[in-house]
Amino acid sequence: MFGLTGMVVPLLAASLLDQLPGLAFGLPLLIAASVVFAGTHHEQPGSIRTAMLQWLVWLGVILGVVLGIVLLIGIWV
Amino acid sequence: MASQHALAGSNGPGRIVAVSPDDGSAIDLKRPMLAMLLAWLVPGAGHLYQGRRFKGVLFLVVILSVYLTGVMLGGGRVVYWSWKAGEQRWAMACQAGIGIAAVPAAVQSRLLHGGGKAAVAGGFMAPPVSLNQPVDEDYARAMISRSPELSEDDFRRQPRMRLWEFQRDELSLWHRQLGRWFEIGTLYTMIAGMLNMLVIYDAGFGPLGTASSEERQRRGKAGGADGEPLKG
Repeated sequence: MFGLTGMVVPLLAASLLDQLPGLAFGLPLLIAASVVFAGTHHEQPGSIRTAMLQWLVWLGVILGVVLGIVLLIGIWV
Repeated sequence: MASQHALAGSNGPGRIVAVSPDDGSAIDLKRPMLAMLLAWLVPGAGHLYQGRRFKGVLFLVVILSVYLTGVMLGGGRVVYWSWKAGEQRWAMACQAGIGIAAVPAAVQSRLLHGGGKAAVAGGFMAPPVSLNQPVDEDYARAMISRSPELSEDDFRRQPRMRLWEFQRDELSLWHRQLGRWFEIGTLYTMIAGMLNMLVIYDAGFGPLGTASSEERQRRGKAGGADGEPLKG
């Protein structure tokens, strides 16, 4: 088990580093989408700010999981 | 989802309002169709017209920033309109959501493929010229002056008609010059247009969010189910 983890983690880290330019250009889009999603679901400025952070976490987690799965598939297949 | 009500209020009968999911207050949508049109033309303008200043400024800044960043990253080449067979620009369906900032693309496409065979303003937002496509002599010279890779040898002249036939594919040229920036710029402008479609909906129908369970409980205690009186 440790051997498999020891093999996969460096490969995953290397794949992630390879994606850094894409991640850097994806982050502003993630923030913009969070702001607009929050703004179109709420009306009060305070609620929009809170919802923006929630959307940011949600989108970050969802897209992060998808990216992780894609990278893992890329390593194994 | 957003809920709309026609409310007889202080501003006169037939006022269209939406319910704020945050505190249950009424949001005056004024003339929703006009607000939607304004929101399409300029992101956030519909909200500014309705007096929803915070959201109007927020949408204006965020969406236009994303759009302009995309245009800059793509060297001003990523927003263009082309429905020629085999060269359709499907990204434009999303980019068109940004409104007036994408309108020049439609105008340039019309000019270049119309009788004049030339775009204006140095070809800004004009579609790429394809292989064997005839263009006006002046526009051909403008293409040469803005791209160091082109020369008069890349055109076949038709002197009697003052038209020059392009012997290369300008889109391939753009891809070679811009590399991955063409795709990144396209993505940014597409997402800006799609986000503005949500903003247009919000201007016409109010916020998409539903009241939280605490808010529903609070309203229920205040005297009613979902059809409680609106604060406004």
